[in-house]
Amino acid sequence: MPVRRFDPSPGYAALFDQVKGALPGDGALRERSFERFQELGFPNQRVEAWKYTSLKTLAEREPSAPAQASVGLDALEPYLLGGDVRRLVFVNGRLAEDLSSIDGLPSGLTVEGFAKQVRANGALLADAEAERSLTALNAAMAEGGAAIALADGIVVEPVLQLLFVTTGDPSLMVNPRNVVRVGKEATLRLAETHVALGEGGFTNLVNEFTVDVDGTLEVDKLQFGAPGSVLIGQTAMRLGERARLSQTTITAGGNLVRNESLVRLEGRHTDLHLNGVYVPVSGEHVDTVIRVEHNAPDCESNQFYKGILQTGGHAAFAGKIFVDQIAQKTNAYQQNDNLMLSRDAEIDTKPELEIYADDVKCSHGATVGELDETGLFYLRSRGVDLATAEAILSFAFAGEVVEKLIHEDSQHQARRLILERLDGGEKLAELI
Amino acid sequence: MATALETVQEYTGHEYKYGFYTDIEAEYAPKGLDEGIIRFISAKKQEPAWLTEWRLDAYRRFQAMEQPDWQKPEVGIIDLQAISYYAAPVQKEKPKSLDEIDPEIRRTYEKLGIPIEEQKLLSGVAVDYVFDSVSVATTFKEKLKELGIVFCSISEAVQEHPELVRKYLGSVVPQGDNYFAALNSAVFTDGSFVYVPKGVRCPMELSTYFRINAAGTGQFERTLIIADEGSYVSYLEGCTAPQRDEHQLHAAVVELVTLDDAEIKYSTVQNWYPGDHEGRGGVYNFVTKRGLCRGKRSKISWTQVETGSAITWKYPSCVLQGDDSIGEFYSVAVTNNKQQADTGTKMTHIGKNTRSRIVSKGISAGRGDQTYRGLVRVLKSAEGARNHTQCDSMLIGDQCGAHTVPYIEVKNPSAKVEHEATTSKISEDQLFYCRARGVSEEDAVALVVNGFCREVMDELPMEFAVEARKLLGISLEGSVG
Repeated sequence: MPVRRFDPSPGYAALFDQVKGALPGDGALRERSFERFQELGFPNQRVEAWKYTSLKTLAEREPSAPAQASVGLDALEPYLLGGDVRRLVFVNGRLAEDLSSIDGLPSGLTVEGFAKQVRANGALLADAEAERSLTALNAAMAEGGAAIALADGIVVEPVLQLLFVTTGDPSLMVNPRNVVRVGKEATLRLAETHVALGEGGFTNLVNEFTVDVDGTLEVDKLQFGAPGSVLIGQTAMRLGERARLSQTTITAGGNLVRNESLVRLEGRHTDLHLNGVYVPVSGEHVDTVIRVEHNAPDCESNQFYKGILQTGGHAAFAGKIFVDQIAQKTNAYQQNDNLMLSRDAEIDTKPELEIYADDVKCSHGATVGELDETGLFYLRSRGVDLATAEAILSFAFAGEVVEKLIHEDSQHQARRLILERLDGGEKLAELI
Repeated sequence: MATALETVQEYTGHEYKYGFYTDIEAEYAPKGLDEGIIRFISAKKQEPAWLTEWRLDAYRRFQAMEQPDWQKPEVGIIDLQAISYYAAPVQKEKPKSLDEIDPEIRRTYEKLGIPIEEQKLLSGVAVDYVFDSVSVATTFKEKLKELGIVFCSISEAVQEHPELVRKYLGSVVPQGDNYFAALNSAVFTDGSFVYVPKGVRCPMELSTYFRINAAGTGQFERTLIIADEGSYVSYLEGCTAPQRDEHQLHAAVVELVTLDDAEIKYSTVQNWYPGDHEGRGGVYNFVTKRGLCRGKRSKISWTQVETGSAITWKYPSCVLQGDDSIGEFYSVAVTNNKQQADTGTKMTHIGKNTRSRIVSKGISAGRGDQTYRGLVRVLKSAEGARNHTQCDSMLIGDQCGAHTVPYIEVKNPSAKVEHEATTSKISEDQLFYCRARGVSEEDAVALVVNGFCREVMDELPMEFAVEARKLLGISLEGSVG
């Protein structure tokens, strides 16, 4: 059989031995999870789901434990959301209480550090048998993250921001895990922000979102990477009857960013929206993997992703809609549009349908192209230089997704981020 | 009132019309695969030494490979030692004219609706008849010869045009391309060979009719078509096999080459035995088909209507090397009962301003399961490349599946690549509309399905279009629901 894995460097085992004594929760379970990770190794590109993304350099790294680091609130200012917001800040994977503020939350909403939860309930890490090696690694070493539970019928007004910061040693590895449960007829709005302040750093994220009957969860996901940083995350979502979930992801920066969304629509009449924009520049690779499972009838799902690829940027998109035999009257849509602005960019897109029910409407579309010449000509004929004209059109292209972010500041941050990355964006930023 | 589906369900299963077996004296190679068998086949065909070596080279590559398992249908490991790699009707002497062909074989083709006899009278289509491992007859050879067109079995081509065969064989699908292509390269027995010289427009459709007859065999034919500068040829391929409880393997390789300004139009109506309602028996149709647009402004167009086979697993592809070359893929695939299909195409854009178009229509009924898998790859050199892909699936009944797996890889910003896909059920409204106007339920289904596939059907040469439309109706008949 061909080899389908990269062996993790001995550094991973050394790190686990070094930190395991201090990890919260059931030690035996942690050991089993780590064994599972060693057994699976990192998937290589022969594994279909990893065809376009190589973990070779990641596997060869010698990861280090995150050091205690202190970050001032002023350094985080550009990433904070204003207005009615509560937040948890995690620096190098650990909850920084001095930077967090969760006062005045309505009763019925519990927000805790994940470490505390695990101490109380070891079962939270019960995926020692994970099929996905990175999830097993996370289960072995997860320490930080948020455990959020919202009781039935509560509508939470403030937006809850989870801010993850890595800083310091470029070889550090953190394994955050967030567990979010939204009760019946409850509503929660989240902003999940990942920031790499220094160079490097590897974040191996696992999220679990559950939305019960008639519940609503809205998530803004902003990812601010840095040279050398790696962010690989899987978000597993489960939706009950008439539940609603929408998530918008903005990815900019980082050597390697991979966002996996695994959604199970388990009750009837659920409504799902997944949106995203990725803007990789030179040396950056962004991989988006989505699997939406329609396991109940009458559900609707939408995927809407856009990419802007500049010199040296590489993006991959693999979105899958799975419709079970019982999921009649499914409406599922998927669109992936890519703008290619350079000869030295690459896009690999794979919009996939797997359908076992007949009374369904499913469609997907994927496009790759460069900027519209007549649009450029129009702008140039009005005295706009080429770089700025390109920036204007690209910015507008991304705008359609950016405006789906729920928080105004998320939108500002996303716009700023995208402008910073566009050639000619500087001038445009002055104009607007 | 019964629903449309229920009514259609009443029409009980249509039996496979071509499932009969011709009892004919045949010569078999012993079962199994080793170097000896390959030498046996090569010797039987009196091949030159280079070709024997070429086969053995393929076999050595094959031995280092494993059966792939990335496809959607479950295949299981095929026991290649249980197959006889050579089966041929015993022929005392090579027939000098069509009149001398074994009457049993002649009757077989008559039953299949393509009488060799008729071919003498009707012009329009020249046919190469391949029966198990060998070509038994080729019509209109003389007439084509006048124009310089070579149309014969590949075994004959090896003898008579070795320089052409040697130059092009394996130039599009190399021996080690994939598991089944490597197997084919080692053991291929016959198939068609076409060479159209410079500037010649072939005046008639060329056609090969493949028939698997013998039990315990596989069919491993190899087709090679070369269109020299400025030439044009349209080629048709049809296939049937007897009804058996065992699976039979058909692992063919088709290679097309077009030079500057040349065009090949390749059409397939595939109707191998699909197995019964329970999925017993049926042909495994694992074929490697690839065209190379080597010349500038050349064009290769694949049209396929896939209604048969237990499992169809193939991706007729185009490598668009010459600047301004064009690749096209039109496909209708029908899966019914327990049939499975994993089919699609690969378009590799290398030259400047290369264009490709993909239209795929999948119809899944009964407990059929169907996958469109396609790859559009635009390399850095392919300035101004253009692709449009349209892939629609229709589901009839709630026990079937339809899947779409398109890969798009783009490395040039001037490329425009679009992919669209939809999946939906057969429209009750349309069926009702037809019924309200007195069209029978069954005809209504056929009408709607034909409309759905029309874009592809229109690409078929006239001689095939009629047959293909009928086939489509028959394949779906009675199994709706």
